[in-house]
Amino acid sequence: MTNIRTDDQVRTTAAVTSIVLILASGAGCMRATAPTPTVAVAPSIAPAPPPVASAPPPMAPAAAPAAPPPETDATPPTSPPAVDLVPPADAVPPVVDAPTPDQRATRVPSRAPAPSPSPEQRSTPRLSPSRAAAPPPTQSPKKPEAPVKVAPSPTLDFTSLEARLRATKAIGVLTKLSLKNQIDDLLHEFKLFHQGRGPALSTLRERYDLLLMKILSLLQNDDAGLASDVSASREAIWAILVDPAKFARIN
Amino acid sequence: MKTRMKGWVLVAVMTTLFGASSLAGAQDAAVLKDLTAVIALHGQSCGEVVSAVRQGENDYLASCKDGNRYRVFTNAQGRVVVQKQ
Repeated sequence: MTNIRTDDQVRTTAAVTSIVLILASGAGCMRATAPTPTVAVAPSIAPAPPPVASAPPPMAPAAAPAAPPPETDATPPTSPPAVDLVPPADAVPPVVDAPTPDQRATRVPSRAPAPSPSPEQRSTPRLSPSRAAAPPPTQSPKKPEAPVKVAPSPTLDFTSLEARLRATKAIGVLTKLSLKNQIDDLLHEFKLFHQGRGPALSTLRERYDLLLMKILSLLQNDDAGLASDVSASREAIWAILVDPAKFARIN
Repeated sequence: MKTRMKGWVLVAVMTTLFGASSLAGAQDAAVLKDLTAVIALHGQSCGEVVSAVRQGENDYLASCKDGNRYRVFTNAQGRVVVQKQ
């Protein structure tokens, strides 16, 4: 008898358990199927609303003081569709979001770029502050560059550079000869310029830059040190070429 | 002992031969690179010099990858000239 009773109890328990499981799975299916149709969004929002429904009110006050007016104008129309999209995607996350309700004001903009890259309006305001902060550092380093350029001019060792260029094995003999020809041509044009019958200074600068680029391209692979020294002396050499007194001293 | 000696001699000869050929190859490669740079400096189309025949001191006939051939030499004034053939 006890065995029969226990069997009955076991059967009853199993039946109850199976019913509970069926109900639970049914409820789970309901939740899973809810996000896909638009009509079902409403019931799905029902569990979600606590965070969502509470989000819009804080958004408006939070955005009003913190964000500029255009953002507040843009967020109200965009927020309803965003709310519809967010809950289905974050059907599970709301539980995770629940412990952090303090950052609702910041969470709303953070959600916008994360789940859907489509709302660019939200991502752009996010980037704009970072970009606005970025330009100042880029502008500030430019200012110290000017004194850096001035520094190498007094340290130019013209004869040493010439000797190193003659001695380097990074450039072949014929190439050196060819470069020397082109340098001599340019020096001749500078001589004419200082006599008042040469090409314009801008033309000379262009030819000088091209010639230096040729030399650097030949050196940079096999004699990087000399290439960097020549590159650093670019402005100093130009200053010598442009100054008639210094140029006469070279010749 | 004689066999071992012959072996060592053979190894030495082979090493010398291969070493010399590789040195010549390196020199050739340097010349080809030099000619490529000169032709490029003169603004001529070449791509890369694949072979060159020396015709005299600082006088080469260079064949380019794109099929062009140039004579690269220094004239009496000491200028490097690139002549298309």
